[in-house]
Amino acid sequence: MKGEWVIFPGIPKKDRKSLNEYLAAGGYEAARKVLTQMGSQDVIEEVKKSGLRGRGGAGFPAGVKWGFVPRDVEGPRYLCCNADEGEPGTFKDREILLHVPHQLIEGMIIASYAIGANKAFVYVRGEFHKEAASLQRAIDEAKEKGFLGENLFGSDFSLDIVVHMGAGAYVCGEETALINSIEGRRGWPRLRPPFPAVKGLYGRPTIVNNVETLASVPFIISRGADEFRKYGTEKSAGTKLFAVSGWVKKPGVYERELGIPLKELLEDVCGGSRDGRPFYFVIPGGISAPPLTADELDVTMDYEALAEKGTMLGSGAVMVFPEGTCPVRVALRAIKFYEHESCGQCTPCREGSGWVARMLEDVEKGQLVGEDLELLADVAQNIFGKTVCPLGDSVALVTLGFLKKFREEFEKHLDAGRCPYAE
Amino acid sequence: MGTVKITIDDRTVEVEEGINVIEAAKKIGVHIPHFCYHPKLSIVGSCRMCLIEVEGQRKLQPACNTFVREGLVVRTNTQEIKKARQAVLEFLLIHHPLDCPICDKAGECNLQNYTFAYGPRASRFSYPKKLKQVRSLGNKLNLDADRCVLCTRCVRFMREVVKTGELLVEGRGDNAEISVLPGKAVESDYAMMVADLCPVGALTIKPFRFHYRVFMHPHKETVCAFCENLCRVKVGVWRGRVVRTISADTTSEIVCDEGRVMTTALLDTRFSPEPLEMKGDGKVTLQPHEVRDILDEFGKEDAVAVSPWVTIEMAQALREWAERKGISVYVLSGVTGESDEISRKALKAPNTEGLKRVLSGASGQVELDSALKSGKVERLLLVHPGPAARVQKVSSAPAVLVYAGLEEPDIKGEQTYYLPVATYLETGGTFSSAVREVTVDKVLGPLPGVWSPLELSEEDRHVAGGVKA
Ligand SMILES: Cc1cc2nc3c(=O)[nH]c(=O)nc-3n(C[C@H](O)[C@H](O)[C@H](O)COP(=O)(O)O)c2cc1C
Ligand code: SF4
Ligand code: SF4
Ligand code: FES
Repeated sequence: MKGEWVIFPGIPKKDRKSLNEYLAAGGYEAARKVLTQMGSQDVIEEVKKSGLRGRGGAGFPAGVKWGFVPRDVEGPRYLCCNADEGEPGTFKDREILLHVPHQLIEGMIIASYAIGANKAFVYVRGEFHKEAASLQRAIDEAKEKGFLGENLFGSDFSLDIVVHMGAGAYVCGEETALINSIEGRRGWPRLRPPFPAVKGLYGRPTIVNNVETLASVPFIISRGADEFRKYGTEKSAGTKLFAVSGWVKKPGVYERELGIPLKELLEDVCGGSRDGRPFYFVIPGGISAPPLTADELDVTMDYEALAEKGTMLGSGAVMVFPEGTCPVRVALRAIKFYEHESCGQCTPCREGSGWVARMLEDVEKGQLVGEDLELLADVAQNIFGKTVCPLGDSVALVTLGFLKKFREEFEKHLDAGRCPYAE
Repeated sequence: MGTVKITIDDRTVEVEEGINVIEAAKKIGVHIPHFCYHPKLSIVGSCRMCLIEVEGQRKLQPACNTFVREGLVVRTNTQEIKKARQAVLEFLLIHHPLDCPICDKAGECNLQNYTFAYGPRASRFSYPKKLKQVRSLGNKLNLDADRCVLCTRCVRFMREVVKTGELLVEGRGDNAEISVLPGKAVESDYAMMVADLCPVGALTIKPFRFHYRVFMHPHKETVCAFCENLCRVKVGVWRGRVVRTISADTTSEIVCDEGRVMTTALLDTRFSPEPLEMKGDGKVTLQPHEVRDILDEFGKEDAVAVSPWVTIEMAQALREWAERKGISVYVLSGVTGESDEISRKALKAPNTEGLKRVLSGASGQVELDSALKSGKVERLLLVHPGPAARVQKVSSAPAVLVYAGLEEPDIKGEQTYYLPVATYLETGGTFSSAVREVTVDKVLGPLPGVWSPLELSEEDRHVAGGVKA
């Protein structure tokens, strides 16, 4: 163990909700250091060196992304913090908003400084009333103390943070839909290129980062990239919040090092199976990540190891399903979700997700008429890689993932003419 | 603007910088199918019909959002692309009613054409279709939402070009549907243009709906003469009538509704298909030789007034005729009306510049009126092949008025003759306005009784050949 955690040091014993508590724990020292001693390029270099990767799902290196903001353009740039937390199974960012909101604010000050933004937005999931209130309280405290507003820490840098509430659309967590939503437009993802770093919010260079990504930044600045790198693996540096749900004794949000063996997370951290029933499969990174079967659980929880298994770390939401769970049902539930949340903009996702859902519904009932599993796979394949945003890909990956790993279960449904798990 | 070399399907071509691959491919005759892309509108890349292979990219890329750069290598026809096109078409058709037999767009529908060219033979979708109700979007348009491919061209056109923005998409996923802002209707002056832009039969024009089959009437290119913008249009002709007017090229011609409706109706306003002598409240049909005799009477004391709806060729014939006979020539003025930043110009006449050129020595409306008032003019031939409301009124009639127009003459002389004049639609010809100069072919007719100023020079030739009776 390398000392304190990155996101939740000392918690829950020492609360850091209020500004005073946060200051007592050394809060805002990183921001002060950046604004009084560092150039923006130095900040970007330090974050690059830390190897911090995006915690929102795609795992893109944060420092590299910040580096994409053109240095030489005049006019405003923006930082958007993605607190939409809509991926089913994911409930980690809310803990940051509730318990260490100042750490997020500090991370946002540092990131804004690095990219030259004087205005930042936090896009908060529509259902997060408590969380938004907690964040707003912290922003007000920080403003009062002079940590937000004009001339922060005596520098010539100014920053305002605006909390923007979403309205409950999953797709608005996708960064370009999020940007449209802040602008007051329909929450449809935008075509890339141009990438937000070049042309984002209000047509200006914009960086979108996840809550956890930004909340990791103060540590990197105050302790240094090397200290951060002591956690995790070579390519997956740092710690991660794992939101574990399902058939474990102690579900919850846990901060652990990246690269922790999944079995350790499930058995030692979460207390193992709730009633001793063996695990049947685990979704390791939010609903969009294809499942790992019981004999694939010997895997470490980092970006590369999971990618090697054909799935992903995603948002770090681990969903555990015991034997007796119908995998077809789970796949169906996931696809129904996507069907409902598809923004309807691009053809393959708009039309394909409903079609796939209908077929899965029939498989689940054991009554796939006139169509077969090959067709199911082909329709999913016809969506894959052809959509505007990755939501469409998820429809394909989840369908194909379940079909590949549980083909027998699918066939069993069809042979029986019913769901074999149904009472 | 510089050029760059790119390779499309193994052919290297030089194209101008900054264009996308759809436009670049067009230049070498390669068509990349697309629905949502339109050169007048912002790029959204949402239909996914235009997917192509771009060297160095793992996934297929939308050609509409792939811009040319030096050394770009793309393929437009690989197996993977063909499968992707089939996939998109199959998706678009799963909830489509397949009602082509009763769809106004059949015959000029991209979904229909692409399905034949690139589509799957049959659908593998075996569920009941989600069908939607036809709805009215205002006084001009209907929406058949179940034919819509949700390309959002209509929405973007209203927002980006017309800037009234009354259309939007409502709902998500496959419930998404084109709709009008609450409390609004599409009553814009360019509402019918969206039906031209709609790549499928989702948006249809009310007066045209269910009346004609586009593949059964030939479409001819001409212009709209209702303002000096001279939009290039195509008109459909069915049984000797113009039945609709659409933009000849949606990428350059944004045709206003008024122009379409008026061009379509232009010939329907004709008062009589035959030359007439107006006698009190009655009228007598004139024989062709009587018409010739009436015009032969014209001489030194007489006048011809030419409206800016006359083509350059007609004006030339009239000028030569007038010169030969020593007749004075007057040019009538067009009328002005509403204009906007899109297409409509204030001057509602097609050939003002053309007449300035051909009839450079002619006098104007003021001189004509005073000549008429002073009683110096014995006979007047008034040539106006357009709607009466689209030319400045002549104040009074001389003893003999020959009105070569469309509607009933609204001034009368002691003797008044009506000649059903041929319009540019029936003769073709050249218009020249402050905006552009265009020469068009004739679209239809003219019917036997219709008189054209061009006959004045033909008559000459007949005389020279000794044919005249
Ligand atoms: C459909 C969809 C939903 C998403 N939802 C979220 C979300 O709720 N929170 C989030 O941080 N990222 C979400 N993302 C990922 C964002 O697009 C983006 O990659 C991320 O916010 C970037 O931040 P990061 O680099 O710090 O991870 C979503 C992506 C997609 C395609
Ligand atoms: S993939 Fe789905 S959610 Fe994403 S843009 Fe297309 S229709 Fe919208
Ligand atoms: S109505 Fe026509 S133009 Fe509008 S979105 Fe549908 S297909 Fe496109
Ligand atoms: S034309 Fe390119 S995606 Fe529609």
